[in-house]
Amino acid sequence: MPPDRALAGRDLTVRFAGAARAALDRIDVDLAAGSVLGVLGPSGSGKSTLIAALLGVIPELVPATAGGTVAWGDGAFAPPSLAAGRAAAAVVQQDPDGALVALAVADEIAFGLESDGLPAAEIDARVAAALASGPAAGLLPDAETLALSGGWRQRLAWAAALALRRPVLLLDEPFAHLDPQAASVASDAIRTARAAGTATLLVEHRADLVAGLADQLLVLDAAGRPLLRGPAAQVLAEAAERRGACGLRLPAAVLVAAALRRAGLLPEDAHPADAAALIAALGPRCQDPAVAAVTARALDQQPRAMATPGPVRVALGDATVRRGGTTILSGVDLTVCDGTILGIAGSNGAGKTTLGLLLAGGLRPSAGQRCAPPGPAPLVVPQNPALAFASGSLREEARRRGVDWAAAATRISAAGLPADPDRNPLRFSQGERRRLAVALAAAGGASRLILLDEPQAGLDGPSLAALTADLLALRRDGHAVVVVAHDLDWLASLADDLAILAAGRIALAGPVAEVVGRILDGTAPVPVPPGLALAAALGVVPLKDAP
Amino acid sequence: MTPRDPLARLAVAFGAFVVVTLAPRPATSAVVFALLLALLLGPACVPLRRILRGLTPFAFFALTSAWIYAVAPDPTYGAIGGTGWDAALLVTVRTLCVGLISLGYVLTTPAAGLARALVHRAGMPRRIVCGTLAAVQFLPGLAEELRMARLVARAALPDQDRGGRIIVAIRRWAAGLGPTIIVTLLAGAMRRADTAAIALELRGVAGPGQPTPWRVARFQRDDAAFAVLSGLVLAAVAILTWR
Repeated sequence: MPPDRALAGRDLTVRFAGAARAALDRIDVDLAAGSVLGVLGPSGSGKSTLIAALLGVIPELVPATAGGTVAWGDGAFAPPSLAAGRAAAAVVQQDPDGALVALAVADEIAFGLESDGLPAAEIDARVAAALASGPAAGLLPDAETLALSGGWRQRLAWAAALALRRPVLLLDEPFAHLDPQAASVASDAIRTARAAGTATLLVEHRADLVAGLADQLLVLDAAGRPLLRGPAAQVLAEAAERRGACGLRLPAAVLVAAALRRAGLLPEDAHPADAAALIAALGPRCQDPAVAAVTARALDQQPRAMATPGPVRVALGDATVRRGGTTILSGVDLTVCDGTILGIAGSNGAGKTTLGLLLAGGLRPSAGQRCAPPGPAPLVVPQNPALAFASGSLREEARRRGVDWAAAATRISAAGLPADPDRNPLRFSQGERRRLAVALAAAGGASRLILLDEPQAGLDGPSLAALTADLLALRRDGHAVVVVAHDLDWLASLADDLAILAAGRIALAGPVAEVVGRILDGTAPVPVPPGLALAAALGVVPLKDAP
Repeated sequence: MTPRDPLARLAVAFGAFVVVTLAPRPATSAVVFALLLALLLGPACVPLRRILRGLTPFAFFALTSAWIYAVAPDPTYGAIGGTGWDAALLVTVRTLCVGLISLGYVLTTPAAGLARALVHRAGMPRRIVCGTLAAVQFLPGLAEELRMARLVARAALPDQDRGGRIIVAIRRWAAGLGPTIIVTLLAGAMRRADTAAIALELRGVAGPGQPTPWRVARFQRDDAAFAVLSGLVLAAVAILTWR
């Protein structure tokens, strides 16, 4: 047994009743104290199932056939048990809506500490420490958890887990609801925990967030089997060479490094995992025009066909939205034209969703104007895509939207989903519902204005590529598309216009090249996303429209 | 006098329930209602709007029940002190009073404090108390999902300006209230319940050790004074109004 072992799992296998294949197939896990193991894989590859299996949640709380053994610390290997997992590990669950158990912030942090039977004075001290620094810094102890936004709820879940000071931290997509600033704070919390000797297992879709944190990576394939394993930089480089076959969303630096290696501009043995390492590996070649050209292609920052805006689909004039005495949006002037994509970005609680719904007509302005020419109703794909469906079968849903079933079935199949006309849309998973909603939108129908709220959340690499292609196809067909998202790198590669919201106001809006320029100048109220930062460092002039 | 013990307050609330429920005349409930309303608006600083909003479901229940008693030829719901309009008045005032007592308790008692007192002093199982508390969190989540579903449905209304102002307003109000949304909300509630159950177990809701009695409110002199005074007031109201 390695002297610093924090957690080990052997032959972990899970099969749910009625499933054609195992959700998790003979996975081994080794996690040393003070290290971070990132677990990556496409949707449905069993990443969250792995955490549940290690903890004994499967099969003790979630029925399934489970096999394999787990050893915590220097203990012996034994079948996973909830009692052992609970004693050794703190967990941040994927869904912060259901994962909070108390009604006040301090009570939420204290809950696990009370369960542990710690002295009351120690609980007071840990609650105070959790609120003084770290992800929940700034929250008031008596604040109601019900009143927190999704991002803050996730930050509170982080604080509650860290306060337990367990030797192992298991994180299931902990960045999913966080804006870039909050994700940075959470990343720092992982580094601090690692420095204190905590072992961390981090399950995440976004390899760019994992790359800077993980020492080792385990990549699962779509069938829940181990595909790649090893040092983070090496595994990411291998995944990049496989070009999408792993189903991952890879960091910009890894994609660029792979492209540069293939072009002979970077040594074969150079495997940088982040921008700083790539720039260091390139040295003086950073300014080489050939490097810039390869980088532009790898990051999809090539000159592209200029949008040909059609007539105005919707316009807001000095629009304000108030709710329950609180002003959520104020003084918004914005125009969306047919044949263009508008990206809306901003921090948690800035009013992005409200602005999207205002543009789509779901909300009416409390003051100011919303002007839209008469025409077919817009299509809205909300953050919870289940709310977009109002029929009991796919065929019925297509008919409701005025889409021919044959066209819908083609698009649904192209999105990698079964085009069963009698299947209820709610029987798809969360990520699949989002792809389904976009596929139905892409299939046509009457709607000319399409709003998507965080459509990229939780999507793996191939799904994101398919979504991007669908949205560009809608733009080409003359639809007006509005996309609300945290991921500025993705928005910048997709949108014609960008609007950055801050505290309910439009802080910056305009053509994407102009807004990106301001972001890179540091004059926009958002941090520079890694892809754009890398592009700028390697001499790529981002997103210059071709005439 | 600042009563802090949620169990002492719970005992007083139960006492008030008993008095109001057994009282054969509407005057008892009316007096208790007036006294409690004055306490909530005065020392407790609860906004009137919040009270009225909280009383809405009770008012709906009171009026529908009263209507049954008022028009039913032979009510068989038990002897409640008469039939017809007298019974209707009694049922209305009693229901509103019970609603105000419940509402007053909820609005002025921290739920976490009550939960801790129930676990550490009343000996109730922590899994049940904390599970109930976690379930309370679902309600705003469901309300938000319903709001979002209705906004999405409003955006999808065919032609938003056709049919005149009132028709448009009715169509916008009713958008998203179809049966499909119930299935969607139910599915969301079940998903949340699963997550919450796992969260509680992972954080040791029923762990092997004894949980720490952290910030548990104790029965103190102010609580005793509050309980005695409330008992005396309830007794006085009962004696003066039952005759």
